[in-house]
Amino acid sequence: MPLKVRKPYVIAEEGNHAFIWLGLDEAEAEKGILTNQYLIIDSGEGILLDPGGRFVFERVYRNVSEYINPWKVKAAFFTHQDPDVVGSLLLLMDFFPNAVAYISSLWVRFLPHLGALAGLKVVEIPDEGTSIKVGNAELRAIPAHFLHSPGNFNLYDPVVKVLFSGDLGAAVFPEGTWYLFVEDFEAHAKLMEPFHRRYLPCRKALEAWLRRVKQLDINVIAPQHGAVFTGGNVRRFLKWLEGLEGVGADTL
Amino acid sequence: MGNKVVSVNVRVPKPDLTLRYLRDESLVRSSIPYLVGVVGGKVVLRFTRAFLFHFKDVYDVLMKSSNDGVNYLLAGERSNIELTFKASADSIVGTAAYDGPRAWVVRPCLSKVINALINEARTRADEAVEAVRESTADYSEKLALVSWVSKLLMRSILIKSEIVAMPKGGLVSYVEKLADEVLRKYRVVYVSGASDSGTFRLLFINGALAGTYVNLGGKEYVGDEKALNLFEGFTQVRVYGSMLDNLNAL
Repeated sequence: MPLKVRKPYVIAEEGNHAFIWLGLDEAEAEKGILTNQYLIIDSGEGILLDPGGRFVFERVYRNVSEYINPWKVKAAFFTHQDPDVVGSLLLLMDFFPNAVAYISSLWVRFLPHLGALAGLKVVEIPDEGTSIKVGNAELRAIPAHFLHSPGNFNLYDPVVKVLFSGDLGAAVFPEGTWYLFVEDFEAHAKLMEPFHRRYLPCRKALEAWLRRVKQLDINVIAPQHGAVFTGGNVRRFLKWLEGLEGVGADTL
Repeated sequence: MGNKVVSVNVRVPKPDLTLRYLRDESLVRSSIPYLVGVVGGKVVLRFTRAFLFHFKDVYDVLMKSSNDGVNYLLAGERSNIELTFKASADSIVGTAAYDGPRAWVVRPCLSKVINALINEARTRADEAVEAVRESTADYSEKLALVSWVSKLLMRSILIKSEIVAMPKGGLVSYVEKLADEVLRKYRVVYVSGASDSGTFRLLFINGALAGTYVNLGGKEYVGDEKALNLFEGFTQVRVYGSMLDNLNAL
């Protein structure tokens, strides 16, 4: 039976700021690559991170509504252009009418193909990244180009020091197993390895990302697929990426 | 089990139907708060207090159903949680008891657990009622259902979007203006609007108004065309043309 987790979980919180995981729906064709959606709230305003495709939308909408009036969702951040990231765009525009879409300038021309021929409120993120104000928080879109998409961003939340890492940290769970937080890093690394070797293009892109990310003060890394890294596992994950060989086109 | 039992009474419109969903073990497995893992058929719960203190355990979920209610024993490696749900005339009574370490972390979380499970069962009961209603409902009633609107949107394209300063009573004349530019081009047109005063959803078929839904400050007006005159304010209007000829296909 496909896994479903209907209830959200607060990953980090400080005062009127929270970083919230929004539950899980599994479709058989995902082959264990389950998608995570997140909501950041600050001072009564919200931003959705990779809100996902059509079949997860009702759960995302309902769980967001538990925390904040959907009208107060001011933005949706898209790491890249894949359907499990942007697929619900049309629903998003109707049910979160004040949300502005943030996506790499490379992918804006693709969005009308999701049915949005008019009225799309988009901020094109330039290659060097940008800052996104939500409530009183200043979030930062961090370049993660080519990982795995040519126009790719992560989002850094400096209030609770969470890095939303998109596809970096993705893991493929075996059937019947899922966990939100990584505990046994060595065991979890085995679930991450095939994805990172195949979906990432080369070590050079990874090294550029590692240089950027090491400048950030990070308590938590929250990926779009797989499980969340906290505490010492943040450092272990970055070190694991540093040592990862045989990535993408490097193997050709 | 420990002496301290947490009890919560939640009023629901259909207690018997709600209890039927609470007898569904998969509801507890998928909707219990604090769920952070699933392994070998067991659930992993991580309770938190004040975001500083935690207690985590791996639980087998054992259900026992009886005529007057349902009982779940969450048998953990270090702790046990017992949840019981019973229906009364107008509500579901849920109780929870905890036996294990760090009770001062777990017990304050139990009322949230009971509330969440009852509300999830209530939502599923509502959805079941809605599904029946959806098959027989008129278009105004269907516009009130998020599930139906989302299905319609997934088969539509957004053809017009604008922010309009809508005076009270101005919505009808605004819609009339749409006729020339949009309604003649598409057999099915869906129009939605949101302002500080509320939201509206309109459905046109062959150029004629086929359904209306207005929500003003939380009050719903289903099929009440007069309510359109109450809508006002700076409004984000979106107009969609459906690619479907037959809405029964939704």
